[in-house]
Amino acid sequence: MSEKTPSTPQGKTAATLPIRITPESLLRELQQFNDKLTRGSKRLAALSEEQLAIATAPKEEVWREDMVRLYHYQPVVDKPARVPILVTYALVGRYQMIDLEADRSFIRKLLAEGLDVYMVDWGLPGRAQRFLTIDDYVSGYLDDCVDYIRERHGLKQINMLGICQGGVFTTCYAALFPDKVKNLVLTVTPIDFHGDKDHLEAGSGYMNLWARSLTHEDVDTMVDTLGAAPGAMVGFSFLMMNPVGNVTKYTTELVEILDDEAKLLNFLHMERWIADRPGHPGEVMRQWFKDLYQDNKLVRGELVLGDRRVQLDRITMPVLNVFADGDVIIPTSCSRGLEGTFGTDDYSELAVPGGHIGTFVGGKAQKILAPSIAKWLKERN
Amino acid sequence: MPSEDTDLDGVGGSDALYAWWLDLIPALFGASGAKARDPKAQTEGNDGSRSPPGVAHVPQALEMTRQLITPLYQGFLQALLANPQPERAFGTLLEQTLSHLRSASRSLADMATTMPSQQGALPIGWNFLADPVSAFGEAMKPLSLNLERAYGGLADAFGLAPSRELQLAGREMLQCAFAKRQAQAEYLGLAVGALAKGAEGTLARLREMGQRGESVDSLLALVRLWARSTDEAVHAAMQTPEALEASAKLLRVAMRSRKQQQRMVAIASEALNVPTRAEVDAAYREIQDLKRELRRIRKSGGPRVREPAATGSAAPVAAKRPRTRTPAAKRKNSSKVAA
Repeated sequence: MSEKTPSTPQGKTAATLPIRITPESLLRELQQFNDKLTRGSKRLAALSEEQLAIATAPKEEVWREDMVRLYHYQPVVDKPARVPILVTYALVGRYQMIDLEADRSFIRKLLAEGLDVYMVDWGLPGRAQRFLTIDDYVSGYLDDCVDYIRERHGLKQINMLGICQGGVFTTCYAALFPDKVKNLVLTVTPIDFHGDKDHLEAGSGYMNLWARSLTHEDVDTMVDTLGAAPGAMVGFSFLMMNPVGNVTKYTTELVEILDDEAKLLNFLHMERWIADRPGHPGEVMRQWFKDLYQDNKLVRGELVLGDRRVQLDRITMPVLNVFADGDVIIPTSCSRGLEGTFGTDDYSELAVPGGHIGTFVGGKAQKILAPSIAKWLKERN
Repeated sequence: MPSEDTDLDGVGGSDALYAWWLDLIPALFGASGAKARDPKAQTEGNDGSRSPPGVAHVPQALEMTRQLITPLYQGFLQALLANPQPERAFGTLLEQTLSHLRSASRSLADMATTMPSQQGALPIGWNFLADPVSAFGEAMKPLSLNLERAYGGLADAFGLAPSRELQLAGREMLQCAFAKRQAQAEYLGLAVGALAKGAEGTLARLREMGQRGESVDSLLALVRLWARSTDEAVHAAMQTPEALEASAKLLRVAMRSRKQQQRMVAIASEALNVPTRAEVDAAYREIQDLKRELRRIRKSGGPRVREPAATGSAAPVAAKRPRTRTPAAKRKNSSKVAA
């Protein structure tokens, strides 16, 4: 194709459509297209499990309860940072995304910066976990993980890093247990769930709009009926944020990368991560939609977990808030500009290029994210 | 549009709707015959080997691409042979597509508005089976009530109550099915309207390219251009209050329908003395409450509950009292981190 190729002879025919396809060129293209598909099919069939493996950074399971696991990544420097960092991912996807490939692994980059990294794996909640609440995750599992790490390292406080929904959990944790958190890093985390109201952009924040178009009763009916949202349904909600893009991804875009093994492997690794979509506990979903998306209680200081109110002004430890410039899942207006929202006097923001997931796997963002976080932490440890 | 048995309740519904989106691509360019399949379905590779888990849908997506794109080439080739000027051939194809889409959008909108009247008419057969006297109108209501009291009680005595309850639940299911189809038609009408706008946007983009002296010399490039325009149009359309309301309505009827399914299963389960969903959920709730209580006791310094042994070489380190350290001096600065 030559979409950008100036075509001077035709340039003057501004009113007509600049399509330069002849029957001969079309047949040639069809032949090339079919050849490419055939080559691609063979290439796919020849790929091994080893080539397709994701989340390969060496780690060990150090704690578990129910379906929740705590992993400790093997440090890659002789003397890692004295204060470890606990990374908390969202429930809507698996933690493997931040260690997708060896050369674009957020985890490996944190390790290379000399950090001592732990990771919570929420596992695959099913029907039996439908009554788990946000409080069970925050004051239960997450607090247990923090206590385990504190005991293991003999520390009063550790560093915490939350991602998206995991960032909300981490924020709640820091507000409820401020004495146990030394530094708080939030990445692509919605705090002001109504931040997008005055900054509507086409293609951005669909989930915010959709959730607000429902009533409380709708959410109750959905949770009572579904119990736990199946992983495929959670995946479908993401898919519908970009329906056409998700069709072309499997057609024209896939064809384009078939001859490039590195790009094809990137695509397959991402697909593997997407396919492993966990279910979502119903009660978490209820509170997430009603209290956060609909009523925006977190930033208003009205969110109640268990019998305690989450007061963001109790977050007095240093906070680094990272958001993605092109995030359409969590509009930046929901995650940036939070000076004064927390109780800390040490608040910093970092904008990284790319989208919600691109923050952790995109080439440009990878060059910035881990080094900036490590630098910020080292200045405060 | 999704088939009649499309169910948006969960996995099956999601896949069906997704497949519907895929099917629209060839239709947009006037091509036919390509039936998209769910690219996420598990499949064997072309050579018969099975792909590793999590990526098995990709070889199938390739095959689907072949099925989708080949008719586009064929359709465009036919148009080119009929009209050797490519821009006119494409323009004709796109005009036809727009016409189809506008017509489909109108039909779906009509369907959505006319369905309520059909809804009242169609379940008559079911109503008659479940409550035959009701067919004779209001005047017969007292008789209907008396018959229900006399024979309903008899049916209960013979243990036939579940079948009557099932009939009632089934009737409500039928009503839900109508409501669901109406909501689907409304939603899809909006979606098809957005696709038509996407096609218009493609034309506008092409004209802009012409003004800049750029050209398109491959069909795949045209498809990509269409995808970009359509993506924008769909995003804009799906964020409108009408589309959000249509989506919410679809969710409501889907949940209502699922509730009725669950009710029918519960009636049957009770009749067969099998634990119902509600009973199992009550047990799950109790287990969760007990776990919370256990955690509360453990955290309040009660008897320590040992976790299951950790795997591998990473046995949990013996509990040590956290050393108390003086927190670092609180920093009093607010800064932007340099990238």
